[in-house]
Amino acid sequence: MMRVAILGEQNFSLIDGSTIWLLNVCKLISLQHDIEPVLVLSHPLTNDLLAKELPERVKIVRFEEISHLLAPGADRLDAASASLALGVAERLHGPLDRVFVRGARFLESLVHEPDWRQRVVAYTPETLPDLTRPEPAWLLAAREARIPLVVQSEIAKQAMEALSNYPAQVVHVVPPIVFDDAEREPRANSPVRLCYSGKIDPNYGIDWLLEFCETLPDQSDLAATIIAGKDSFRARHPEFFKKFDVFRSDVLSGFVQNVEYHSNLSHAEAKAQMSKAHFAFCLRHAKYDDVIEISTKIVEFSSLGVPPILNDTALNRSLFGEDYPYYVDILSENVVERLHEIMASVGTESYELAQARTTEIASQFSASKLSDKLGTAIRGFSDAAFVDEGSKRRILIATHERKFLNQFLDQVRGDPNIDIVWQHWKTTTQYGPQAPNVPPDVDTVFCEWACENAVWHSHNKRQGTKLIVRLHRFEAFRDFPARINWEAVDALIVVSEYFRDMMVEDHGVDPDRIHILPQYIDWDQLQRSKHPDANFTLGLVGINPFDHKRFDRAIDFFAKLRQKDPRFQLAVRSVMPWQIGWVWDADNDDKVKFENVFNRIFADPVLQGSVRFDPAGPDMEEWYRGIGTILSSSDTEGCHTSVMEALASGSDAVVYNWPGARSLFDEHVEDDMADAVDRVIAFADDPAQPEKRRAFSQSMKQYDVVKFTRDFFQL
Amino acid sequence: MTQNQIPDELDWRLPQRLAYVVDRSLPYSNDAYAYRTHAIAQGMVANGFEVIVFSRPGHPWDLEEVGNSKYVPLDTTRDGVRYIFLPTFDDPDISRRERLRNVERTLFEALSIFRPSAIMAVSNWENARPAANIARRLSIPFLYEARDLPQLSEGDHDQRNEEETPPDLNKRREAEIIRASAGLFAATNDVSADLIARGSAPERTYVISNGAWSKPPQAPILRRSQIGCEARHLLGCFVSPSSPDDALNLVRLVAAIRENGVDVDALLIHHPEGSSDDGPAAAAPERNAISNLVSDLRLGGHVHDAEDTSFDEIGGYYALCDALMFWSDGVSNRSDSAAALVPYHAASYGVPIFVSDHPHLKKFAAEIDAEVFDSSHLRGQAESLQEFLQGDHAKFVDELPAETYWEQRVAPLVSMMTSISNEEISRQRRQNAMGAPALETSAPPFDLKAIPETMFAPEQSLAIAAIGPCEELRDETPSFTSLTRTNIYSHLALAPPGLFIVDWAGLQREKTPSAYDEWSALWTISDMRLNRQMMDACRIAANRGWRLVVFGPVHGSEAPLFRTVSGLFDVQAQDEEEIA
Repeated sequence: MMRVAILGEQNFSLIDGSTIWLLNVCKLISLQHDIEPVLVLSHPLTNDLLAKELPERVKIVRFEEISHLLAPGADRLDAASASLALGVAERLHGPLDRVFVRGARFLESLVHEPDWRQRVVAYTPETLPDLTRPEPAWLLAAREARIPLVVQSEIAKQAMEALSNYPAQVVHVVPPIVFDDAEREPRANSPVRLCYSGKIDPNYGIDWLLEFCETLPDQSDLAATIIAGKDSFRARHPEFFKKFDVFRSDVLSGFVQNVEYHSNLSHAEAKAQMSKAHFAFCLRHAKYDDVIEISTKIVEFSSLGVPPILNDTALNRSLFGEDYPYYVDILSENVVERLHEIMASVGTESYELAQARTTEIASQFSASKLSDKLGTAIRGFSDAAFVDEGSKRRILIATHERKFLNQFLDQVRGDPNIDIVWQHWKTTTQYGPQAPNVPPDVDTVFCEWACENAVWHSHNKRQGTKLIVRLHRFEAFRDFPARINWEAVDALIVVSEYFRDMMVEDHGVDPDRIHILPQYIDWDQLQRSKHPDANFTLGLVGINPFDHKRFDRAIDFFAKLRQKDPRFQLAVRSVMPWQIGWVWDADNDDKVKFENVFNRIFADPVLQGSVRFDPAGPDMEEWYRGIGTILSSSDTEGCHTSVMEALASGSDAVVYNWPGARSLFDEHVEDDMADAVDRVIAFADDPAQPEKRRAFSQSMKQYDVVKFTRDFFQL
Repeated sequence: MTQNQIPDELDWRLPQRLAYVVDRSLPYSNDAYAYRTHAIAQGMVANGFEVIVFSRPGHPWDLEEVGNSKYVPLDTTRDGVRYIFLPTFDDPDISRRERLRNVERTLFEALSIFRPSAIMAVSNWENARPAANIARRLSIPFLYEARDLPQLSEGDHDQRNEEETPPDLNKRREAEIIRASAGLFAATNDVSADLIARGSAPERTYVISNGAWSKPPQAPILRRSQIGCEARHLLGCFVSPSSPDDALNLVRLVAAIRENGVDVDALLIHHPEGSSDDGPAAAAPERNAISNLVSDLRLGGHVHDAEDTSFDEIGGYYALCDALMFWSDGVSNRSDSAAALVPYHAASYGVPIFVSDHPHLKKFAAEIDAEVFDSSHLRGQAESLQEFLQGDHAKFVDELPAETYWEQRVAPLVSMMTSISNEEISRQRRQNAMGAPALETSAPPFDLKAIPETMFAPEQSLAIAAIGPCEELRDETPSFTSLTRTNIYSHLALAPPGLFIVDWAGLQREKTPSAYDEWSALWTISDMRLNRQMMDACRIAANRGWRLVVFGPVHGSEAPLFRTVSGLFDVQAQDEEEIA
């Protein structure tokens, strides 16, 4: 059982979109039977309308139980006290495995606390950066620590990855949640009712709603319901509120026909009223047109079968489709007239289409589906654990460089039966001033990279432990394999048949102990649609060092391709060689070779303007969407992960026949890359391209990180 | 005193640098206080940090043996730890308040120059308060190292001012220090518990126990003959100024072993722990007790003294011994709760150690796997030692468990400094990422509209680099470059800065296929990489002084991602004919 605290900056006594979100998160988490939710209230509870709807499983830590730790008179939890509050939660309910946090201040505090950082799962509705403002402090720390992040939509996820460099593997999409548990009131055929539910804020289109309501006394077949939350920004909009106050008073006094006004309803009561409407008023002023977050209200209305009337924005179109009939262009249309037009469409095909669409959309946001998504985000994995229930594994990872382990670690992080202990080696050849140490409760030592770490552990293996070594590539060409005591190594992971054969032939390693497990990929993360310009865009990842990656060979191929078909472009994503000291200052002629290639790119008329250099970055999943064909021009490689990833994303590949290439990429391998020119051109215009892209992708599924992780724990 | 302009907040600091503020330090004080300071600093250096130890301003010139005239190097380094000494010459009659103000003034100037990313100060509050104030003024984290319980640490500060300090003032000042601390490091669990009881948050309170040295100071090699010992075996112990019982116990033990025919002598090491103001290593009455016992037991010539040793030299005496005996932890009564430095220091040299079942020693024994003996049973002790001496014992103990060494003991501080260091690096990256002051902290960009030429002849004066049709400008501007996804970075980075224009309205009018198709998804939700490229391009342009203009209007409904860069652009409506 995993115990999870839920901590948000919202005041749970108020009813608005964000507190309803908090309520729904609690409900969602409580559906996960292996998770015990603990809601930590950041404000005193003065109104229990929402609290009454919490499932029994949800334990509550009240503000009063924390307040003695705060400054006298404090009326809310401040950022500095977040960890204290969680300490109280632990004291009352037991150790916390995770903390699900919403709120920049709380996040900023907790991600900087060593005790809490690794337990935080962050939620943010704000996903677009502003170049003129610094990044939030919490985001910097969270990104570095690979803290799991929950966002509302795929668009928000893509934005976090591409614009804020957040690692794709730890960004989880959990859209707004809707619980289909409301009692639906029967919907009368007449009058046709428009419903608004939310705060009274002129930016939320209430001025248009007011104007619409003013037309209603003349129309007996139309009605409106306003389920009002709090008044917002009264001081900023005195004229509006002057008018609205009069209107509200008139409605409540019965002077306005066909308009109902409700306030202080429980959430369930509000939803019951909403369900009586034929249309939902979800318009907002242009100020909100660039919001990319999905409105919870829109989803709620959809779940109740009430088609929303929406701003005509890219986001709404991406959700409801181009053919949804109830968009309003608030800049060019008369909103009130358009509302009347829409409300007259009940019973038509448009209305039926809209109803069907909303039902479809609501099913995407069903609680059961989203509960699993949220559970995965919090837990760190979704499927059964990698280790059998009841057995514990304690793995010591000895390495000088852990960058190729990130996705593996993302997988095991959530498994309570797996403990990872680190042994950091300073370099490939040195541990530090003292000898390494293997704690007595470690059952497995995993040497990531077959360097001096593997040499030492193979000669100092403690009885009863398992020793696993992973050899990438360069180690095979150094003296490390010759000095490793292979008898002591229980399992050697290599990335291709080529390296397996090398280890057997050159070092006498028992072939039964060798496992070919290429560097894994996160296959699911790579399933994204291609951009239109991908068709004629080739990709090349990493050009350093020259003699290894053979940038010149890739450019030769590309030049030949361009000579035949100038539609093609090449996108190179790499650190530049002069940015790496050991590459640029190497004691060889690589620098001259690089200069020659770059001069050619800039001067050759065939190539001019066709090679784009994209700065190195972590958002490779988004980058591959713009790549139709990936190139691998190297003289040697381990398994060339970028080719695997690109194929998994649906790209084609042209791979030079480096040792081991055929065992991984057979149909894409060429002895001479120029032989692939015609194939690449044909593929760009191939009507069967979609199916072929799917087949490329499927061919890489076997290298998915989940499979690797399962295989690893079976070694 | 420097005349430099010292900022109130340090804009730039060295992420890995810790300023360690102490009352006194090596090499002018070589007591346990100074050695613990050095050991912690060394441990941090071994973990990759830079530590600068700042002694109380005025130290060591206030020591009698130094005075005002002796040359004191102001900046020395020992074992990778840097020591800074700050001369300041106070009137001895000034009040404590004035003295602390002077200390703060001097330290502030020094720390403003050295620019650490954090300051740690040792208890008690008198030493820590100036440092805490400075940390607050410079907006850097303050860390507090509490070495003892408050009532026992009264002596751990400058004794020059003899004002009586009311207990509640001390309590209040300590509480202020605790509140001001981002992290608190206690020397023992007892001190840690005391800090928490006095308001320190448990999750910010850590223990850095005394530890052993992985590379203890190299002492001169001695021979037993130099101390007058001709016996086959030698057992050593420490003589504390205020607890000489260990010496008496060792004398009795050696006598008991010798009765069994084993040729063994005793070495009384008058150890250096204690205040540097302590007098001779053992007072006369205690020495008399020892010599009387030696005489009574007829051990004349078999008990030797190592006098006035320092921590640096003591290793030579350890190495003479077959084993070292501890009946107590060798500290003076004034700090009963503090685990002594001496046993760990001794263990660092690898000489076998035997400890009694004294409560404070049991933990130490467990850590280094030492033999524990029943302190009440002399006969049993003698038999055990006899067996050890006559058996095939190893002369030196192999390495101690890794967690015993100072490099591991300082782990909580390493963790905290790592966090502080990372935050500092991130902070500097944030500041620098936008091209230093241009977008974040400096004044707003200069309004080019104030220059008449930009109004009346912009197309003749300024180069234009544009995305989209820009139909009129393209034909009329001599220096017009059409930006593509391939050349946008290089052009903005290299060309003379002018006008960077996005003809958004023109892009919306274009029908696919067109020469601008590669920009068709700009600022939409469908291609975040394109939006990222635009953000980076805008960053380059703004840093280099380009003026960014978009021909609009740009509606959020069509371009929701425009807001990522909108703050940099002048938006011009379609019907404006001139570039303002």
